Amino acid sequence: MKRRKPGKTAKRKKEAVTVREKVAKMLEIPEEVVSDRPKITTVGRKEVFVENYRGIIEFTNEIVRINSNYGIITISGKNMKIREITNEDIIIIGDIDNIDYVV
Amino acid sequence: MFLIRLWHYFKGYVIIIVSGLSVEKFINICTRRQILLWDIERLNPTTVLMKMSIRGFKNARSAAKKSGCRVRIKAKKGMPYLVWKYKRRKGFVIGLVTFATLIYLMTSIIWSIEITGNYNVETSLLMEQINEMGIFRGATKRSINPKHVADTLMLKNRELSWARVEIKGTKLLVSVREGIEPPAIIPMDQPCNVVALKDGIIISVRAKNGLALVKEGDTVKKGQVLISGVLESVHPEFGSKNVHAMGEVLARTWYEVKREIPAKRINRKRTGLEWNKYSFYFLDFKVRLPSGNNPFELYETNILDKSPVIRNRFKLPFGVIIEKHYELEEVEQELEKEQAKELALKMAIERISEIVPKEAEIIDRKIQIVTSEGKEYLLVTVECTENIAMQQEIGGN
Repeated sequence: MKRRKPGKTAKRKKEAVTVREKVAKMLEIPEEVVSDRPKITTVGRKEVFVENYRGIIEFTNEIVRINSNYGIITISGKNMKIREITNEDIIIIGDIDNIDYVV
Repeated sequence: MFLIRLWHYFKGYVIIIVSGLSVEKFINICTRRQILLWDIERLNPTTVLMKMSIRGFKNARSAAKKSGCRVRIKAKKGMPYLVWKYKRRKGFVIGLVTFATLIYLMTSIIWSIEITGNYNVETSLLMEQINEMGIFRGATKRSINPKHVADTLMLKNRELSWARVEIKGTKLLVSVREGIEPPAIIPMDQPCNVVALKDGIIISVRAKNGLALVKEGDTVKKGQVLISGVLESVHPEFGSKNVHAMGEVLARTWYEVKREIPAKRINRKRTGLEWNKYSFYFLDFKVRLPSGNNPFELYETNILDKSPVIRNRFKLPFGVIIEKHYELEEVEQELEKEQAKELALKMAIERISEIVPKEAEIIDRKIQIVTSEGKEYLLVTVECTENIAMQQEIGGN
């Protein structure tokens, strides 16, 4: 696997509160609307829903690695498929074992 | 989920196999270009199966080049492909459209008219009235207002007490009920006499009302008063009273018919020449096929209907009508006396049955032969018994 440039992701990896998020908090707008943090939703062990991702790095039947602004999300399991993938979100189905953040 | 699939089906999609070392890059490029991908499945380390919309597939070529992947179409699915497939089959599409229009046209036409429930009113009469309203086999359903038809039938026929018109499929159902007509009201306050309808000798007089002026054995002339409606009082100072005279007067009447005994007879014979007129028909529509004009002055016609019949039972609604015209010639034939008499008698009896009313009972028939101006005539006299009473108003003309 090709390593990403360390400089660009390193800055982002800090869970710093940006100005945008501060404004959103003040105006009581739901955070996920404005922030660029990934939102991961799982339904049972069959379905994982990832929003605010940047792209997929690896995709096999056993492992799916997704790049986000705050690190790489690794989803491992068996018989995994991508049910749908658009610019904003990705739906992964299969027998899921683990969801990890690799920082 | 089902709705999304339906949507994809309508928009059309392709199932593609992408092979290469960095298939993920291909997926990323596609998502960034707003190409929708779904059902992505890894087949083996270098190939991935996925589904993609048609519109996306057009942009996917360059994405494949950029990511160094090979894209192969496994299947094309959805409506657009079906449409394209059938667009090429023009005949099929034309057939489909014609079929649909034909079905529509055929079902918007009345194909049969059924009349039920009539006993005394003739079906042909009702049918004629229905036809007059512009409804016949082949009329469009839209032009028919069932309520209006039912109302018109009710208005035109006094005997009907109820009528309903329904359109069932391509059938026009006319159901009627007949009522019993009320008996005619006798206008008892209208004074009238009973007079003789024709000449005759009275057999019996039965006056139901009024004063009988004739008795059995009297000879009466046409127009003579038989039962008077004017009742004179015994005492002249009370004047008279007018009543509505009624009654039955049986009388013997005679009818006479004179027929010449012909010396010769004209026979018509076929000359053997014939000429045919052909016409094609479909239902009630007839088209004459060009076959020239009738060359004969004197001819007889025989009409043949050549229509395909299935198993002697189902007659198809189209066919050819052949009108055969046979030329005739007149041949005079001398008649023997007996033969001539028979012929004249036959003609005379035919005439008598026309002039003698149906109610009259024939009791005697006389046949005479008279000669006048050199010609022989057959004179048939018939004696009948019949009711000759006829009511006539008093006071009027």
